[in-house]
Amino acid sequence: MAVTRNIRAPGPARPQHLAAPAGPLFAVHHEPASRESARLAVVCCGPFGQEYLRAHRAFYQLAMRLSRAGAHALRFDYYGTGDSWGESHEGDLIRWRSDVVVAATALEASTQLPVALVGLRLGATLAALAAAHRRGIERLVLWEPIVCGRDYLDELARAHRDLLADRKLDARTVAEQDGTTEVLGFPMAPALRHTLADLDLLTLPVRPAPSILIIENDPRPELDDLSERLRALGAQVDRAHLPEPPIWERREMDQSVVPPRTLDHIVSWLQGSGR
Amino acid sequence: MTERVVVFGKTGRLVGVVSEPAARGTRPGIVMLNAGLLHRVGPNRTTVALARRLALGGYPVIRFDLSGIGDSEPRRDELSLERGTLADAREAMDHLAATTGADRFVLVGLCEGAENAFRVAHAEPRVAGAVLIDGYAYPTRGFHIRNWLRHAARLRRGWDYVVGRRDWRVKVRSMLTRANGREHAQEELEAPDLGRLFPPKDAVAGQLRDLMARGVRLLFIYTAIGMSEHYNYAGQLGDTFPFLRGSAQAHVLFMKGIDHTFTLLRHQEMLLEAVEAWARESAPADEDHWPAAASNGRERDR
Repeated sequence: MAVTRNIRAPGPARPQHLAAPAGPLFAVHHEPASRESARLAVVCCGPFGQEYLRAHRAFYQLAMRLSRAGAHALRFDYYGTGDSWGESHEGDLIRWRSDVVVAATALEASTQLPVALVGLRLGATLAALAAAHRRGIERLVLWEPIVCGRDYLDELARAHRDLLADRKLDARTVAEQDGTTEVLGFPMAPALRHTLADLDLLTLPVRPAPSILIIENDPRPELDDLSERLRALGAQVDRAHLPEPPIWERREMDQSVVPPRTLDHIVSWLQGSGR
Repeated sequence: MTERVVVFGKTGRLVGVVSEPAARGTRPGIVMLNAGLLHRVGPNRTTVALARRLALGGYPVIRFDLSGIGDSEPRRDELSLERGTLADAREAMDHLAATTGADRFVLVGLCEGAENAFRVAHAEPRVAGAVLIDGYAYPTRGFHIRNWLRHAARLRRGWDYVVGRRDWRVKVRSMLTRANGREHAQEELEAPDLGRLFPPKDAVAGQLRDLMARGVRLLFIYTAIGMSEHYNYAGQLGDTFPFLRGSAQAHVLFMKGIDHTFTLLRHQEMLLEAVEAWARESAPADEDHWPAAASNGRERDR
């Protein structure tokens, strides 16, 4: 399949605050060089915790690619993460799902264009939940989505134990009085833990979008189940297996990984030429 | 405390967030530099937490991305990386000065950020203080002795496996489990070798003397686990630069059991408390406490 790309200079990137009920959300709106000819607006939904830090460069590059391809792209931080308002223990899935809706609504209002959602890991999950909740999202990219919240919590707990062992840190995790624990440098408050434990994308009641792309960098059987569920709900589901390094995994502060094939595939698919 | 997103600099390429106290006072402005390639929120979002804590304490704070990092565009001039960093930091100070009235500044940096903060502090007369976390470190005799003892302890643990005092199968299983897991940590089992090269000690000594002569106040923080390959006891900095010993301008904090990125929440809180306490004591609002701002040769009114 030949993919022709128009390589153009990106438009301006505009860092800003988005108004949200609990407090402003930090966001960057990457505009295309020509607003008049833009046909697509994309909200980029990042992962949680350490993964957010590791994926920041890749999401920046994704937004730049979208801008060069003539689309609008909005990156943002959920409440209690990144540069958004709120303390790190104040986030949970319900609030973050609302933040995705806030971002999508803001981008739609600003561009008057249909909005697509792209998410990585928990960001993909939040994108699916938000799209199912808000409706009106036509295209959805789920990049290594978290399907089962309990499995994700187990994965985080294992990674946390390994990190403490590797760094010879005192492994006694002291829970706060309100039940807040920690994982990989970030607090895990009861609200987040409970909403994650209840999470199961296989029980989505409605299709989040008519057209969905699932990207896996590593084969995972649960993504077959997810595809089946989404198709049963009436979605057109495309799958892409792109063996590239898992960018969300921990590495040193002077290292950054950008997966070019994955980013190019996302842009092509969103433009309608990536099938 | 309020926050605003800012795009600043001569060519409008630098992106940051300013945290402002509720009441404009006379405390110095705080400029927070990137840690390595991490964007301005810092490892485990500690830069955000520290910026907000200091703003609540009355300091205007800017955290921003140096050129080419995070959301800031790369420079388009021909300045070297070092000169570009200095130019970026100066533009951050200019922005805080213009929007908050701060005329003297405290820099905060971790790892490469600490190295940048040190160099900028030396070059920029408006800098009156700096918090240097896991910055420059030089071996001393005390370092070598402690390092040898650490390696000897490791050899002894290895011998315990050979003579059967420890079960080697448990160790191998543990190593394989971590190696095979998808969430496998990429660092070595010991404290990570940061692979850092520091400038010649004599050059840094000269710069330190200049900073002391200027009245600049410095907080050196070293994490025992994070810096174990370079710094391993509390008195090492004083042994390296004896002229710092007893100086009221230089404080050293050696944080035992703590890693380079302050992974555990209680360690993050210890960092915030330490910097906040130092700022209260060393960077108060009292203008008489500080050397005169010398950026344009103006005299302070007394």
